[in-house]
Amino acid sequence: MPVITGRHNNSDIFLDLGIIDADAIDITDPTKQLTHIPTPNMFRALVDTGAQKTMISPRVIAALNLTPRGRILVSGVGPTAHYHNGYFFHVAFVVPMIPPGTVIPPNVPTTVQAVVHINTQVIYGGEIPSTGGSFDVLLGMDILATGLLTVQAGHFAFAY
Amino acid sequence: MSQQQQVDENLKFFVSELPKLSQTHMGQFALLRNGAITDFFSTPVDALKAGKSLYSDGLFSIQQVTDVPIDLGFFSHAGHNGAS
Repeated sequence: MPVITGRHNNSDIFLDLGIIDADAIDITDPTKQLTHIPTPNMFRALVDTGAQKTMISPRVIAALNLTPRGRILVSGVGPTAHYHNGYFFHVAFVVPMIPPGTVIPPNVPTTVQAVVHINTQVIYGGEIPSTGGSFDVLLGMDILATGLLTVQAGHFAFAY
Repeated sequence: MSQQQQVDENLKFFVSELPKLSQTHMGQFALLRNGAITDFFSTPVDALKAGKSLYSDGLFSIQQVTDVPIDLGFFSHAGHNGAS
């Protein structure tokens, strides 16, 4: 089971993940899915176990030129709810392949090999209009429930 | 008509029909085109597949028959909501 690990700040958990347009993977012909896997665009995500769905910012939508496929009713502050544009996409986790003992100097551009794991579940998630710029994906329970999230003092791990 | 216009026009019709649809298709995903419902599906992906195979111009939209909004936890309650 691949694992993503990192540090948290005792308040939020952020991680980097890839988003792939669901249209880039032909869901009408599953046999094609393994022959053409596009390189995911990478974005910073906020892990939110209180979010029922994974949501994406306008920056993700613009970068991938995603097509709105409907509107999703999302709760707001208090009794209010609003319809947000909904998009189909895949979430991908990218794990760098760094041999044990390798020292990567800080602030020096370095190329490392990485393995891309694409979550096979197609996500139908909505647009979040404003994230304050600190993240572009709200990683919700539709993805988190497919793996095991562990939070410990200073660290987190997500096995999937 | 752009895809966004298609989505918005279909939403207007869908919202007007929602009270009626809730009694017969609660939880299902409606496939819409030109302000009318084509069919209902159990998952959004099934509705997407049908829309793609029925409409080569890609002009369609999908709405879940529900009046229960998605909760975004902290994000919902932090007041970031601003969509129409």
